[in-house]
Amino acid sequence: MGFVASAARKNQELHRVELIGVYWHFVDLVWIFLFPLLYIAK
Amino acid sequence: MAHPQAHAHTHEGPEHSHDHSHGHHTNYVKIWAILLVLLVVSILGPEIGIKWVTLVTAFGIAVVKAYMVARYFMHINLAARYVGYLVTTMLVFMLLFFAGTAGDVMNSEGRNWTKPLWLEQQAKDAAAREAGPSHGEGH
Repeated sequence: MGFVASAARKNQELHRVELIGVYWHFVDLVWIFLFPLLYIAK
Repeated sequence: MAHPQAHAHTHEGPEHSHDHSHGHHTNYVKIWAILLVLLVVSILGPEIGIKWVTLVTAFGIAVVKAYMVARYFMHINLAARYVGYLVTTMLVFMLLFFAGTAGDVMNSEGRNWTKPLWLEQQAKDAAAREAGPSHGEGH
C-alpha cells in the first residue's frame, strides 16, 4: 500500500488506488452483513 | 472494474478527461455520516425486542448500507451502466440459487437430516408399481 501510495502521489498508477479501494469496500460489504448476523441476531 | 475516476466520461478519451473536473464529486464524509447513523439505528432497533423490528433494522438496514457502499464507495455510480446491470444480474442469480437450495440445505445438516416423506412415498409407489402388472388388467 505504501508503494501504491508513493506512486499515486506522483499521479502514477492511480488505478491501483481504485482497486485497493474496491477490495477494501468488498470486505466492508461482507462485514455489513456479518455484524448483525453475529452480534445482533446471535 | 472500469477506472471510473480517470475515465468517467469515456467518450472524452483518457488523456482529455484527466485535466477536466467533471461533475462527479461525491461527498464521502456525508455518505460515511449517513452510514454511521444507519449503524446506530441497526444497533438500537433490535434492543426493543420485537422480532420484525429486529429483522428490519438489522438486515433491512444492512441491505441499504450495502447498496450505499457499493454505489458510492465502490463507484458503481461512476462506472459504465453495464457494470450496474452485471452486479444486479449477479445478485438476482445469487438469491435465486440460494432460495432454490435453502429448503434442502437447511434440513440436511449432518445428523439432523431427515428423510423426507415424499421420498418414502416414492419408494412405496415404486414397489407397488413393480407388483402391480402381475395382477389385473390395469386401471
